[in-house]
Amino acid sequence: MVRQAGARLIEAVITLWLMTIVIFCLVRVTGSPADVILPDTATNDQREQATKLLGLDRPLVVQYALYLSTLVRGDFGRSYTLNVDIGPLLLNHFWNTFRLATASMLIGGVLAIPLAILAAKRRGSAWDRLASLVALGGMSMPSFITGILAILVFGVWLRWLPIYGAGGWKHFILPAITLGWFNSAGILRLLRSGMLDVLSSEYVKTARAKGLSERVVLWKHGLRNAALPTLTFLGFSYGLLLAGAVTTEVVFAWPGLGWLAAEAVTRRDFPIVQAVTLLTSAMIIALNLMVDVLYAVLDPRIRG
Amino acid sequence: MTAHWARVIRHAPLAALLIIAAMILMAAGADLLAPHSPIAVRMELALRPPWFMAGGQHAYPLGTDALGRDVLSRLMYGGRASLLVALISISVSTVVGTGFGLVAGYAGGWVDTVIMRAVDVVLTLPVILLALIFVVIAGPSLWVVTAILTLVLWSRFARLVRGEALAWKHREFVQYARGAGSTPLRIMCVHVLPNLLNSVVVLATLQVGFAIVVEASLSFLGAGAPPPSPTWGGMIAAGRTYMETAWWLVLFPGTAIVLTVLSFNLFGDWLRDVLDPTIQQL
Repeated sequence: MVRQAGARLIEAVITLWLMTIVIFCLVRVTGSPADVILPDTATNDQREQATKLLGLDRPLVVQYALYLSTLVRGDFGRSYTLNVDIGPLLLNHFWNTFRLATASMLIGGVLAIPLAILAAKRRGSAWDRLASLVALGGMSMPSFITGILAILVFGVWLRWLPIYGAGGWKHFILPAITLGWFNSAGILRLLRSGMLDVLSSEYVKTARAKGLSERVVLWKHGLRNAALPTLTFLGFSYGLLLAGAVTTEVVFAWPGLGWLAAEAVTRRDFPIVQAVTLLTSAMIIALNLMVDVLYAVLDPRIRG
Repeated sequence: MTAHWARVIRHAPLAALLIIAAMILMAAGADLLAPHSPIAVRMELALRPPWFMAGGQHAYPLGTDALGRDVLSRLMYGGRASLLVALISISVSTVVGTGFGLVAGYAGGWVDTVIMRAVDVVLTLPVILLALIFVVIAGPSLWVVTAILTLVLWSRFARLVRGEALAWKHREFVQYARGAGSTPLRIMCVHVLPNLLNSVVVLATLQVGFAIVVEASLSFLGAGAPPPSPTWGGMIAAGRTYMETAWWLVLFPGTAIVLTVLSFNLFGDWLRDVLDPTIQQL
């Protein structure tokens, strides 16, 4: 068990390392960072100077080694336009992203888990139809559109809630529900089909035949076994929320990591975008690792 | 057999198919069907509401934007951009992903390990952020969006095809073909690939919605086609400023995206039930 977790940890580190290569190559293949910093009017001399200053005239392998060695020391470099170290900047914005992601995970879970169980228990009922409607909507509506519609209705027309920025708890409501709905779609689909499988299985029939109460059958025999695939999804989508809520953060001007990156794009501040991408990739990989380990703890069949 | 097909047709998502057909027709025929130029600026016509509101005109049925451009015409050309990006990225990644998946599944060993490791890396890439890096360096364009989508999508096909190829390669007829001296290439193309086509078609259909959402999100963030080219996401981003007074600038492109994605998802779900009910996919 410990050995398995160790092996997965090594795999995760290798994946992260490959990711740095992918990002490094993409940046160098698509153009030169010197051209990004300099204005179009820069002379050739100035270009050469900048290229030397940034070390871009050295062989690619050397450049990559330098890049990796600063990264390993926890140094994400400096922003071109804000002239501050990127590390502390990331930490500040991560806190905001983390709060929003956690709130929307809770909302998605609270909404989706009971609904999925109810839908599976009463297949074909009104609850079941409601569940598939919520899931279909969550899957088909990109969260930035849900967000804008929510702003239009609750912020502009009804004027109930603040529509941008991070402040009191009221600022959480619209963005967290927007992301939470998106999230609940996956939970609903996975948990409902998982519960349906389990509820028609032999051991649930046996449990019912033994005369166990419906509550014990549903929660102890049903949910515990149906929950595993959903758990993988939860880990995966928590990672996506920490990484991919770019459009939602922009819509609500929520000062998180995605907003930071999108703002940096408008100023062509590419070290920030690069750092955010790498950090969020690392978080996704770490979460996947944790889910794998948790999976092994919960499911005895996987334990080696 | 006939009972099966009767059931299949009865469950066909008719509304979704109609919407898809209408979207394709409008995108392909935008040059003929669009009532106005999607980019010509006429400030004197700025911010006209849709026809059913006071001040609206039938000549501009869905209203005009802040530069006096016809919203309906821009929606048609924007649909063309979205569908083209989806078509190109999914076609390329279907071919590339199926190829890598077949090789990985059939060859096994270190080839399989390398390809599957690459798939794992791609699956953990944060798509939107990666596209933003590209955009900072190379500038915004729909080609960047198409390239990023292809980079991400091939891995989904590779993973599906590898799994299926593994299952088929131990079947008797494949073993016979190998015994009869067929080359690995021939076995993969003639004996394994045809059995996988249904799954690949279903997966490709289910990815259309994803591709459109990613394209719209990136265009919304300013990473898609640069202005004045019309894209659905770009229209929403530009219309956001006027949301207090001109709701039609965000509501119509938003509805276009949601309807299209919803229809392709419903169509994909139905196709899966018809062709290959075993595919598990979110």
